[in-house]
Amino acid sequence: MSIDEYNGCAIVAMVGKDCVALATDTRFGVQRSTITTDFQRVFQMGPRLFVAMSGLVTDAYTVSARLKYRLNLYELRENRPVSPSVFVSMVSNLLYERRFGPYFSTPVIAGLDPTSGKPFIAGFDCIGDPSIGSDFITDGTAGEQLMGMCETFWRPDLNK
Amino acid sequence: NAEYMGGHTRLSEGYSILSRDVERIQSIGKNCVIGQAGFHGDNQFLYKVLQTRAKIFEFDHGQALDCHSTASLLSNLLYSRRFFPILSYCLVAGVEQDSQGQWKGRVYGYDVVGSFESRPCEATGEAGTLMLPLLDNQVEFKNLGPNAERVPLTRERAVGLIQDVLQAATERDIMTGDFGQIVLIDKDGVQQRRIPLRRD
Repeated sequence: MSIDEYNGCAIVAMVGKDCVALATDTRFGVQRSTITTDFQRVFQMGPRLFVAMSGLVTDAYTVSARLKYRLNLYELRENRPVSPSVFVSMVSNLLYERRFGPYFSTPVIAGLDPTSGKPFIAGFDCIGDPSIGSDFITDGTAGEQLMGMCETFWRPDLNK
Repeated sequence: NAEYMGGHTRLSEGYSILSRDVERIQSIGKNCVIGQAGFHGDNQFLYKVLQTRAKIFEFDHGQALDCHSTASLLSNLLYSRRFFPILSYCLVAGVEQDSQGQWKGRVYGYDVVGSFESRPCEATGEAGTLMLPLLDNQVEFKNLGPNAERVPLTRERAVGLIQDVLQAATERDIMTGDFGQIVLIDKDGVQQRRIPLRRD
């Protein structure tokens, strides 16, 4: 079993009309065993900015903590909430620093731009290559299955 | 009382397309079809063997194989190669009469060594995982809320669903595309339809 499949997860982010949605499953397992069923994979990074971390749970927690640390310093220096596009660069940079010994976790970002309110979603690979989505981003061990569903049902300007 | 199977017609090798027009769904007998994903060479070989065995059965027993017998035969054929498998991910679909004379549709899904199961719907191949969740939801009504509409599966809806899943798979899987081959099986036999899919 691959390291990405050790804990298992399903993550999907979608763009709607002036809104974004981010959903994850809440299973925390070790291979075939389930440890808890109320596990949080979504972390709030700003008033309207969330990141969901897929993959290995320990790395998910480490990356989100380190990200929050850098984010806090940014907001102290800049005295404003971070915009999603800048946050993408922040995530990308953090992951690429570990290019040859990566974190086995991939973030999915969903948020609204603080000034314009424009919806924003992005996905990454484990070394930080960003993929900014105009429709939906899926991730995790059930990523393909979610991709099929999203591809069938998504259309522009879905409301809440 | 009817079965529907959809497949695509692209044959690829790595990032190249070898053919845009390969039929993956073929008939066995009057009321049964087999769809095959996986290694094309093994698919062709397996189909020939299965067809020959079906013919031999007809000569020996004076009647054609029905659907569940074809399914069982296929399972045995695959397991006979347990230690050098035929890399063919098969689906057998067809209609057969039950003990009351009612025509019932059945779908059987397989792994490469012949483990099989009859299910209300099944999807296989590279893009199988993209298609199956939608089928679970719209054919078996899985994971729908209590107030959600459960639309009964008429012929038009089934064909529409298959078209939708093929289009969805084509969008995201590089190996899927060109044409979709949709096969309808009922007690009167097998009908085929082709739909265009994205050619990129």
